[in-house]
Amino acid sequence: MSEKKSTRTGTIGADTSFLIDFFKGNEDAISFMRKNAKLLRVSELVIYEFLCGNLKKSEQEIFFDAMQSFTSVNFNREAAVLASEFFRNAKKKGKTIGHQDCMISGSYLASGIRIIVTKNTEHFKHLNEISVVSY
Amino acid sequence: MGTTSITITNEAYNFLKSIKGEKSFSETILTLSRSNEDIVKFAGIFKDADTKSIENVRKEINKDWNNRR
Repeated sequence: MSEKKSTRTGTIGADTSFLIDFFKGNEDAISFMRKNAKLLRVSELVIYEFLCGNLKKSEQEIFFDAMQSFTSVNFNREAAVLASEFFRNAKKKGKTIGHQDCMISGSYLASGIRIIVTKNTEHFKHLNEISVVSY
Repeated sequence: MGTTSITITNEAYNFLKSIKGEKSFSETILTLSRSNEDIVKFAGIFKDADTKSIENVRKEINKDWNNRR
């Protein structure tokens, strides 16, 4: 297991599903955002997923403007190591975690973020190193 | 855009450095200066957008990875 950075107390990694719900106007997601915006970080892998969708150019510009509010988190070497460990450890136990879920989790954990906010708590349930919160 | 030099404590510098990622120090400070309400103004702004296509991206990526040989 690679060496981990110390946890940044309270910081939360945003999953794509949470941001989608927020932008769609889900009241619970908006409430969570209102309370926790300062603590939220956004992985560049989440940004990638947004940009792979069918947003119009004008919507993409709004999205980029909104993302200025957050510190971004990169997928670096440490994230790659952690993500691969998540995948292999789950596989050894006969569990399946999607590669993208592993990579997003790895990017957050490499930045000392151990909490992810998501609608899809099932996606991350086999990751012991990550706590998952919904809204 | 003009610039101004400031002096900050090592503690403040290390904090900014730890959160800045790829951003510049100026961008990082501006990010911190935004209030929660600055992001909340974007709530619901994509209610008519094709967000389903974004939801499907994760499935497509995971499926694509699994199909690679």
